[in-house]
Amino acid sequence: MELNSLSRCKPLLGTFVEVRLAASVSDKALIAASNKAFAAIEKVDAAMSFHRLESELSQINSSAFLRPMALSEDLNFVLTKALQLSKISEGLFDVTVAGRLVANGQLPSTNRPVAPTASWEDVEMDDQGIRFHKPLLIDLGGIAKGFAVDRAIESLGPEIKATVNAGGDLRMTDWNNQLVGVQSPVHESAIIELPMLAPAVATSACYYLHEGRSVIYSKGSPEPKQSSSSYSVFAQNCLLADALSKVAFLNAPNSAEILQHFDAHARVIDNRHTISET
Amino acid sequence: MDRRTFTQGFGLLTAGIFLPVGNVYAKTYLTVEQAKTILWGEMSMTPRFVELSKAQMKSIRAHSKVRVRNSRPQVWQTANGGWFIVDQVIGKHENIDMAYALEANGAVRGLEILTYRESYGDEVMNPKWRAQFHGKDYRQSLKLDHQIKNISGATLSSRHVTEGINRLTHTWQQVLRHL
Repeated sequence: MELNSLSRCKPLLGTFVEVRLAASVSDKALIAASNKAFAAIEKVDAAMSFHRLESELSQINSSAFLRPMALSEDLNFVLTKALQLSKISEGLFDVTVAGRLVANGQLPSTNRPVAPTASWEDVEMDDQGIRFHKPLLIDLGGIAKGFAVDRAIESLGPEIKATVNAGGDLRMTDWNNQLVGVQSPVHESAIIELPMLAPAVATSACYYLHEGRSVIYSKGSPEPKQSSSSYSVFAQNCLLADALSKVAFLNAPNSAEILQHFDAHARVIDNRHTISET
Repeated sequence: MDRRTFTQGFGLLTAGIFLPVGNVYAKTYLTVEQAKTILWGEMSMTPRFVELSKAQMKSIRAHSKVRVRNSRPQVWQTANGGWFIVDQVIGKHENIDMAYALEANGAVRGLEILTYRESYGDEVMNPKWRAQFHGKDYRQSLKLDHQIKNISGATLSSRHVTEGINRLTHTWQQVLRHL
Protein backbone atom coordinates (compact mmCIF):
# COMPACT_ATOMS: atom_id res chain seq x y z
CA MET A 1 0.00 0.00 0.00
CA GLU A 2 1.37 3.43 -0.83
CA LEU A 3 1.86 6.17 1.73
CA ASN A 4 -1.44 7.61 2.93
CA SER A 5 -1.56 11.00 4.64
CA LEU A 6 -3.84 13.07 6.83
CA SER A 7 -3.57 16.66 8.14
CA ARG A 8 -5.82 17.90 10.89
CA CYS A 9 -5.91 21.09 12.92
CA LYS A 10 -7.90 21.75 16.09
CA PRO A 11 -8.07 24.61 18.59
CA LEU A 12 -6.32 23.33 21.72
CA LEU A 13 -3.90 24.72 24.35
CA GLY A 14 -5.31 28.17 23.53
CA THR A 15 -3.85 27.97 20.03
CA PHE A 16 -4.06 25.88 16.85
CA VAL A 17 -2.64 22.39 16.99
CA GLU A 18 -1.74 20.66 13.73
CA VAL A 19 -1.23 16.92 13.45
CA ARG A 20 0.14 15.69 10.13
CA LEU A 21 0.55 11.96 9.63
CA ALA A 22 1.77 9.73 6.82
CA ALA A 23 1.88 5.93 6.82
CA SER A 24 1.12 2.91 4.66
CA VAL A 25 -2.14 2.27 6.48
CA SER A 26 -5.85 2.70 5.79
CA ASP A 27 -7.73 6.01 6.16
CA LYS A 28 -9.43 4.55 9.20
CA ALA A 29 -6.13 3.67 10.88
CA LEU A 30 -4.77 7.13 10.14
CA ILE A 31 -7.85 8.80 11.61
CA ALA A 32 -7.58 6.57 14.69
CA ALA A 33 -3.90 7.52 15.11
CA SER A 34 -4.65 11.23 14.77
CA ASN A 35 -7.46 10.88 17.34
CA LYS A 36 -4.94 9.37 19.77
CA ALA A 37 -2.51 12.25 19.18
CA PHE A 38 -5.21 14.86 19.80
CA ALA A 39 -6.46 12.97 22.87
CA ALA A 40 -2.91 13.10 24.31
CA ILE A 41 -2.86 16.88 23.81
CA GLU A 42 -6.35 17.35 25.26
CA LYS A 43 -5.27 15.46 28.37
CA VAL A 44 -2.32 17.80 28.92
CA ASP A 45 -4.51 20.83 28.20
CA ALA A 46 -7.08 19.70 30.80
CA ALA A 47 -4.45 19.05 33.49
CA MET A 48 -2.03 21.94 32.99
CA SER A 49 -4.09 24.95 31.96
CA PHE A 50 -3.69 28.01 34.18
CA HIS A 51 -6.90 29.38 32.68
CA ARG A 52 -9.15 26.47 33.64
CA LEU A 53 -10.21 26.65 37.25
CA GLU A 54 -10.85 22.90 37.38
CA SER A 55 -7.42 21.90 36.02
CA GLU A 56 -5.02 19.94 38.21
CA LEU A 57 -2.61 22.88 38.02
CA SER A 58 -5.27 25.31 39.29
CA GLN A 59 -6.01 22.97 42.22
CA ILE A 60 -2.32 22.94 43.10
CA ASN A 61 -2.07 26.71 42.79
CA SER A 62 -4.96 27.13 45.18
CA SER A 63 -3.89 24.58 47.82
CA ALA A 64 -0.20 23.64 47.70
CA PHE A 65 0.75 26.45 50.10
CA LEU A 66 -1.73 25.08 52.63
CA ARG A 67 -0.94 21.37 52.34
CA PRO A 68 1.05 18.93 50.19
CA MET A 69 -0.85 18.01 47.04
CA ALA A 70 -0.55 14.68 45.22
CA LEU A 71 0.50 14.91 41.58
CA SER A 72 -0.54 12.98 38.49
CA GLU A 73 2.26 11.24 36.62
CA ASP A 74 2.22 13.84 33.83
CA LEU A 75 2.28 16.87 36.11
CA ASN A 76 4.94 15.25 38.27
CA PHE A 77 7.07 14.76 35.13
CA VAL A 78 6.65 18.32 33.84
CA LEU A 79 7.21 19.97 37.23
CA THR A 80 10.27 17.84 37.91
CA LYS A 81 11.71 18.88 34.53
CA ALA A 82 10.77 22.52 35.20
CA LEU A 83 12.57 22.53 38.56
CA GLN A 84 15.64 20.84 37.03
CA LEU A 85 15.70 23.56 34.38
CA SER A 86 15.37 26.23 37.08
CA LYS A 87 18.25 24.74 39.02
CA ILE A 88 20.58 24.40 36.05
CA SER A 89 19.68 27.85 34.75
CA GLU A 90 19.96 29.38 38.26
CA GLY A 91 16.40 30.62 38.04
CA LEU A 92 16.50 31.95 34.48
CA PHE A 93 13.72 29.47 33.73
CA ASP A 94 11.15 29.69 36.53
CA VAL A 95 7.53 28.49 36.37
CA THR A 96 6.62 30.62 39.40
CA VAL A 97 6.76 33.67 37.11
CA ALA A 98 2.93 33.48 37.02
CA GLY A 99 2.67 35.94 39.91
CA ARG A 100 4.36 38.64 37.82
CA LEU A 101 2.23 37.80 34.78
CA VAL A 102 -0.92 38.15 36.88
CA ALA A 103 0.35 41.41 38.41
CA ASN A 104 0.87 42.79 34.90
CA GLY A 105 -2.50 41.60 33.66
CA GLN A 106 -0.94 39.00 31.33
CA LEU A 107 -2.66 36.10 33.08
CA PRO A 108 -6.11 36.19 34.66
CA SER A 109 -6.26 37.13 38.31
CA THR A 110 -6.77 34.33 40.82
CA ASN A 111 -7.60 36.65 43.72
CA ARG A 112 -4.96 34.95 45.80
CA PRO A 113 -2.06 36.74 47.46
CA VAL A 114 1.35 36.00 45.97
CA ALA A 115 4.65 36.61 47.78
CA PRO A 116 6.66 38.99 45.58
CA THR A 117 9.89 37.22 46.51
CA ALA A 118 8.58 33.71 45.73
CA SER A 119 10.62 31.66 43.26
CA TRP A 120 11.14 28.06 42.12
CA GLU A 121 13.17 27.51 45.31
CA ASP A 122 9.95 27.76 47.30
CA VAL A 123 8.51 24.75 45.50
CA GLU A 124 9.22 21.42 47.15
CA MET A 125 8.48 18.06 45.57
CA ASP A 126 8.78 14.67 47.24
CA ASP A 127 6.86 11.39 47.59
CA GLN A 128 3.99 13.29 49.22
CA GLY A 129 3.56 15.42 46.15
CA ILE A 130 4.10 19.16 45.87
CA ARG A 131 4.19 21.91 48.45
CA PHE A 132 4.78 25.68 48.29
CA HIS A 133 6.79 27.35 51.07
CA LYS A 134 5.44 30.78 50.10
CA PRO A 135 2.13 31.74 48.52
CA LEU A 136 2.91 31.52 44.81
CA LEU A 137 1.43 30.65 41.43
CA ILE A 138 2.78 28.24 38.83
CA ASP A 139 2.16 28.75 35.13
CA LEU A 140 3.34 26.06 32.74
CA GLY A 141 2.82 28.24 29.65
CA GLY A 142 6.55 28.01 28.90
CA ILE A 143 6.81 24.23 28.95
CA ALA A 144 3.45 22.39 28.79
CA LYS A 145 2.80 23.02 25.10
CA GLY A 146 6.10 21.36 24.27
CA PHE A 147 5.27 18.48 26.59
CA ALA A 148 1.85 18.07 24.93
CA VAL A 149 3.56 17.84 21.53
CA ASP A 150 5.92 15.17 22.90
CA ARG A 151 3.00 13.16 24.28
CA ALA A 152 1.19 13.36 20.94
CA ILE A 153 4.24 12.09 19.05
CA GLU A 154 4.81 9.34 21.62
CA SER A 155 1.19 8.16 21.25
CA LEU A 156 1.87 7.13 17.65
CA GLY A 157 3.20 3.81 16.39
CA PRO A 158 6.67 3.60 14.79
CA GLU A 159 5.11 2.97 11.36
CA ILE A 160 3.74 6.52 11.28
CA LYS A 161 5.65 9.57 10.10
CA ALA A 162 4.35 12.56 12.00
CA THR A 163 4.66 16.29 12.54
CA VAL A 164 2.87 17.90 15.45
CA ASN A 165 2.84 21.70 15.71
CA ALA A 166 1.18 23.41 18.67
CA GLY A 167 1.30 27.13 17.87
CA GLY A 168 4.95 26.98 16.78
CA ASP A 169 6.17 24.31 19.21
CA LEU A 170 6.92 21.64 16.70
CA ARG A 171 8.28 18.09 16.61
CA MET A 172 8.83 15.74 13.69
CA THR A 173 9.54 12.01 13.59
CA ASP A 174 11.55 12.36 10.36
CA TRP A 175 13.36 15.64 10.83
CA ASN A 176 16.57 15.02 8.90
CA ASN A 177 16.90 17.35 5.90
CA GLN A 178 13.65 19.08 6.80
CA LEU A 179 13.17 22.84 6.96
CA VAL A 180 11.18 24.92 9.37
CA GLY A 181 9.80 28.37 8.60
CA VAL A 182 10.40 30.82 11.43
CA GLN A 183 8.15 33.83 11.60
CA SER A 184 10.08 37.09 11.23
CA PRO A 185 10.45 38.95 14.54
CA VAL A 186 9.53 42.22 12.81
CA HIS A 187 6.97 41.27 10.20
CA GLU A 188 4.30 38.77 11.09
CA SER A 189 3.77 37.51 7.57
CA ALA A 190 7.42 37.03 6.53
CA ILE A 191 8.95 33.60 7.08
CA ILE A 192 12.65 32.73 7.31
CA GLU A 193 13.57 29.12 6.61
CA LEU A 194 16.00 27.25 8.83
CA PRO A 195 17.16 23.63 8.62
CA MET A 196 15.85 21.38 11.39
CA LEU A 197 18.81 20.68 13.71
CA ALA A 198 16.98 18.25 16.02
CA PRO A 199 13.55 16.58 16.24
CA ALA A 200 11.92 19.55 17.99
CA VAL A 201 11.93 23.34 17.72
CA ALA A 202 10.27 26.24 19.49
CA THR A 203 10.63 30.00 19.00
CA SER A 204 10.36 32.94 21.37
CA ALA A 205 10.13 36.59 20.36
CA CYS A 206 8.13 39.73 21.06
CA TYR A 207 5.59 38.74 18.44
CA TYR A 208 2.77 40.56 20.15
CA LEU A 209 4.40 43.93 20.79
CA HIS A 210 1.48 45.66 19.08
CA GLU A 211 -0.76 44.14 21.72
CA GLY A 212 1.42 45.16 24.64
CA ARG A 213 4.52 43.55 26.06
CA SER A 214 6.42 40.30 25.85
CA VAL A 215 5.53 37.66 28.42
CA ILE A 216 9.12 36.62 29.19
CA TYR A 217 10.71 38.00 32.34
CA SER A 218 14.32 38.21 33.45
CA LYS A 219 15.10 36.84 36.88
CA GLY A 220 13.81 39.23 39.54
CA SER A 221 12.62 41.83 37.05
CA PRO A 222 9.06 43.11 37.41
CA GLU A 223 8.96 44.10 33.73
CA PRO A 224 9.12 41.71 30.78
CA LYS A 225 12.20 41.63 28.56
CA GLN A 226 11.90 43.16 25.11
CA SER A 227 13.89 42.15 22.05
CA SER A 228 13.64 42.73 18.33
CA SER A 229 15.12 39.28 17.59
CA SER A 230 13.50 35.85 17.58
CA TYR A 231 15.14 32.89 19.34
CA SER A 232 14.53 29.41 17.97
CA VAL A 233 15.79 26.45 19.96
CA PHE A 234 16.24 22.98 18.46
CA ALA A 235 16.27 20.13 20.98
CA GLN A 236 15.78 16.39 21.33
CA ASN A 237 12.23 16.83 22.57
CA CYS A 238 9.67 19.62 22.42
CA LEU A 239 9.43 20.18 26.19
CA LEU A 240 13.10 21.16 26.17
CA ALA A 241 12.79 23.23 22.98
CA ASP A 242 9.83 25.11 24.48
CA ALA A 243 11.50 25.84 27.83
CA LEU A 244 14.96 26.56 26.40
CA SER A 245 13.59 29.03 23.84
CA LYS A 246 12.75 31.25 26.85
CA VAL A 247 16.26 30.77 28.24
CA ALA A 248 17.73 31.71 24.85
CA PHE A 249 15.41 34.73 24.58
CA LEU A 250 16.64 36.10 27.91
CA ASN A 251 20.11 35.99 26.37
CA ALA A 252 21.85 35.85 29.75
CA PRO A 253 25.63 35.28 30.01
CA ASN A 254 24.99 31.61 30.83
CA SER A 255 22.27 30.99 28.20
CA ALA A 256 24.64 29.33 25.70
CA GLU A 257 26.10 27.07 28.36
CA ILE A 258 22.65 25.93 29.48
CA LEU A 259 21.66 25.08 25.93
CA GLN A 260 24.86 23.14 25.48
CA HIS A 261 24.13 21.16 28.65
CA PHE A 262 20.89 19.92 27.05
CA ASP A 263 22.46 19.32 23.62
CA ALA A 264 20.22 22.07 22.24
CA HIS A 265 21.02 24.62 19.53
CA ALA A 266 19.78 28.18 19.17
CA ARG A 267 19.27 30.21 16.01
CA VAL A 268 18.68 33.91 16.44
CA ILE A 269 17.01 36.00 13.73
CA ASP A 270 17.42 39.74 14.20
CA ASN A 271 15.33 42.62 12.90
CA ARG A 272 17.31 42.60 9.63
CA HIS A 273 16.68 38.87 9.24
CA THR A 274 20.33 38.06 9.87
CA ILE A 275 20.70 34.57 11.31
CA SER A 276 23.23 33.85 14.05
CA GLU A 277 23.87 31.29 16.77
CA THR A 278 23.72 33.69 19.72
CA MET B 1 -34.29 34.48 -4.10
CA ASP B 2 -34.59 38.24 -4.18
CA ARG B 3 -31.74 40.40 -5.29
CA ARG B 4 -30.74 41.43 -1.81
CA THR B 5 -30.27 37.91 -0.45
CA PHE B 6 -28.47 36.98 -3.63
CA THR B 7 -26.02 39.84 -3.13
CA GLN B 8 -25.44 38.90 0.48
CA GLY B 9 -24.77 35.30 -0.49
CA PHE B 10 -22.39 36.42 -3.18
CA GLY B 11 -20.58 38.69 -0.73
CA LEU B 12 -19.97 35.81 1.62
CA LEU B 13 -18.79 33.53 -1.14
CA THR B 14 -16.30 36.03 -2.48
CA ALA B 15 -15.04 36.84 1.00
CA GLY B 16 -14.15 33.18 1.29
CA ILE B 17 -12.29 33.03 -1.96
CA PHE B 18 -10.74 36.44 -2.52
CA LEU B 19 -9.29 37.98 0.56
CA PRO B 20 -8.28 41.60 0.77
CA VAL B 21 -5.26 42.48 -1.35
CA GLY B 22 -2.08 41.66 0.48
CA ASN B 23 -0.08 38.76 1.65
CA VAL B 24 -2.14 35.66 2.08
CA TYR B 25 -1.08 32.53 3.83
CA ALA B 26 -3.41 29.54 3.59
CA LYS B 27 -3.42 25.99 4.80
CA THR B 28 -5.92 23.35 3.82
CA TYR B 29 -6.44 20.46 6.17
CA LEU B 30 -9.60 18.53 5.39
CA THR B 31 -12.31 18.44 2.76
CA VAL B 32 -15.91 18.62 3.92
CA GLU B 33 -16.28 14.90 3.14
CA GLN B 34 -13.21 14.00 5.22
CA ALA B 35 -14.50 16.08 8.12
CA LYS B 36 -17.86 14.26 7.92
CA THR B 37 -16.07 10.93 8.20
CA ILE B 38 -13.85 12.05 11.08
CA LEU B 39 -16.70 13.58 13.05
CA TRP B 40 -19.55 11.18 12.24
CA GLY B 41 -17.93 8.03 10.81
CA GLU B 42 -20.34 6.07 8.61
CA MET B 43 -23.43 7.87 9.92
CA SER B 44 -25.70 8.97 7.05
CA MET B 45 -26.73 12.62 6.88
CA THR B 46 -28.99 14.79 4.76
CA PRO B 47 -28.57 18.48 3.94
CA ARG B 48 -31.01 20.83 5.68
CA PHE B 49 -31.68 24.27 4.30
CA VAL B 50 -31.23 26.82 7.06
CA GLU B 51 -31.74 30.53 6.65
CA LEU B 52 -31.54 32.61 9.80
CA SER B 53 -33.98 35.49 10.03
CA LYS B 54 -32.82 38.92 11.16
CA ALA B 55 -34.50 38.34 14.51
CA GLN B 56 -32.78 34.96 14.96
CA MET B 57 -29.37 36.43 14.09
CA LYS B 58 -29.95 39.18 16.60
CA SER B 59 -31.01 36.74 19.28
CA ILE B 60 -28.02 34.44 18.66
CA ARG B 61 -25.76 37.45 18.89
CA ALA B 62 -27.36 38.57 22.14
CA HIS B 63 -26.97 35.13 23.72
CA SER B 64 -23.51 34.22 22.43
CA LYS B 65 -22.03 37.76 22.43
CA VAL B 66 -20.66 36.93 18.99
CA ARG B 67 -21.61 38.69 15.77
CA VAL B 68 -23.49 36.50 13.27
CA ARG B 69 -22.21 37.27 9.78
CA ASN B 70 -23.66 34.39 7.82
CA SER B 71 -27.42 33.92 7.60
CA ARG B 72 -27.03 30.62 5.76
CA PRO B 73 -24.79 28.14 7.53
CA GLN B 74 -24.33 24.87 5.64
CA VAL B 75 -26.18 22.34 7.76
CA TRP B 76 -26.67 18.56 7.57
CA GLN B 77 -28.75 16.47 9.94
CA THR B 78 -27.59 12.96 10.78
CA ALA B 79 -29.74 9.83 10.93
CA ASN B 80 -29.64 9.93 14.76
CA GLY B 81 -30.75 13.55 14.98
CA GLY B 82 -27.28 15.09 15.33
CA TRP B 83 -25.83 17.91 13.26
CA PHE B 84 -22.92 18.65 10.95
CA ILE B 85 -22.31 22.32 10.21
CA VAL B 86 -19.79 24.06 7.98
CA ASP B 87 -19.22 27.70 8.79
CA GLN B 88 -16.62 30.46 8.76
CA VAL B 89 -14.86 32.15 11.64
CA ILE B 90 -13.43 35.58 10.85
CA GLY B 91 -10.84 37.26 13.04
CA LYS B 92 -8.61 40.31 12.65
CA HIS B 93 -6.22 38.62 10.21
CA GLU B 94 -7.66 35.15 9.93
CA ASN B 95 -10.49 33.56 8.05
CA ILE B 96 -11.16 29.95 9.01
CA ASP B 97 -13.51 27.37 7.52
CA MET B 98 -14.69 25.09 10.29
CA ALA B 99 -16.75 21.92 10.50
CA TYR B 100 -18.71 21.30 13.70
CA ALA B 101 -20.57 18.24 14.91
CA LEU B 102 -23.34 18.70 17.45
CA GLU B 103 -25.17 15.83 19.15
CA ALA B 104 -28.99 15.69 18.95
CA ASN B 105 -29.09 17.38 22.38
CA GLY B 106 -26.88 20.25 21.18
CA ALA B 107 -23.69 19.11 22.93
CA VAL B 108 -20.52 19.69 20.94
CA ARG B 109 -19.34 16.35 19.58
CA GLY B 110 -16.26 17.71 17.85
CA LEU B 111 -14.85 20.24 15.46
CA GLU B 112 -12.29 20.37 12.70
CA ILE B 113 -10.55 23.21 10.93
CA LEU B 114 -10.91 22.73 7.18
CA THR B 115 -8.98 25.74 5.89
CA TYR B 116 -6.99 28.39 7.69
CA ARG B 117 -6.14 31.64 5.91
CA GLU B 118 -4.25 34.63 7.21
CA SER B 119 -3.85 37.92 5.42
CA TYR B 120 -1.82 41.02 6.11
CA GLY B 121 -1.00 44.28 4.41
CA ASP B 122 0.98 44.16 1.20
CA GLU B 123 4.19 45.82 2.38
CA VAL B 124 6.10 42.54 2.15
CA MET B 125 5.51 42.54 -1.59
CA ASN B 126 7.11 45.96 -1.90
CA PRO B 127 10.73 45.69 -3.20
CA LYS B 128 11.81 48.69 -1.08
CA TRP B 129 10.52 47.00 2.05
CA ARG B 130 12.24 43.76 1.11
CA ALA B 131 15.52 45.50 0.30
CA GLN B 132 16.01 46.56 3.92
CA PHE B 133 16.53 42.94 4.90
CA HIS B 134 19.27 42.14 2.41
CA GLY B 135 22.00 42.22 5.04
CA LYS B 136 25.37 40.63 4.55
CA ASP B 137 24.33 37.37 6.13
CA TYR B 138 21.13 37.19 4.17
CA ARG B 139 20.74 33.62 3.01
CA GLN B 140 17.90 33.74 0.56
CA SER B 141 15.73 32.43 3.28
CA LEU B 142 13.01 35.04 3.46
CA LYS B 143 9.94 33.36 2.06
CA LEU B 144 6.94 35.23 0.82
CA ASP B 145 4.94 32.62 -0.99
CA HIS B 146 4.08 30.84 2.24
CA GLN B 147 4.13 27.41 0.72
CA ILE B 148 5.76 26.31 3.94
CA LYS B 149 4.24 23.55 5.98
CA ASN B 150 6.10 23.87 9.24
CA ILE B 151 6.06 27.23 10.91
CA SER B 152 7.50 28.15 14.29
CA GLY B 153 6.77 31.57 15.71
CA ALA B 154 3.96 33.52 17.26
CA THR B 155 1.47 31.43 19.16
CA LEU B 156 -1.77 32.35 17.46
CA SER B 157 -4.78 32.68 19.68
CA SER B 158 -7.72 30.40 18.92
CA ARG B 159 -10.13 32.72 20.73
CA HIS B 160 -12.22 33.45 17.62
CA VAL B 161 -12.74 29.74 17.07
CA THR B 162 -13.93 29.35 20.64
CA GLU B 163 -16.36 32.20 20.01
CA GLY B 164 -17.53 30.41 16.86
CA ILE B 165 -18.37 27.31 18.90
CA ASN B 166 -20.38 29.45 21.28
CA ARG B 167 -22.24 31.07 18.40
CA LEU B 168 -23.18 27.72 16.84
CA THR B 169 -24.27 26.24 20.16
CA HIS B 170 -26.72 29.14 20.41
CA THR B 171 -27.72 28.67 16.75
CA TRP B 172 -28.74 25.14 17.75
CA GLN B 173 -30.54 26.46 20.83
CA GLN B 174 -32.44 29.13 18.91
CA VAL B 175 -33.01 27.50 15.55
CA LEU B 176 -31.84 23.96 14.76
CA ARG B 177 -33.57 22.20 17.65
CA HIS B 178 -36.90 23.59 16.46
CA LEU B 179 -36.54 22.32 12.89
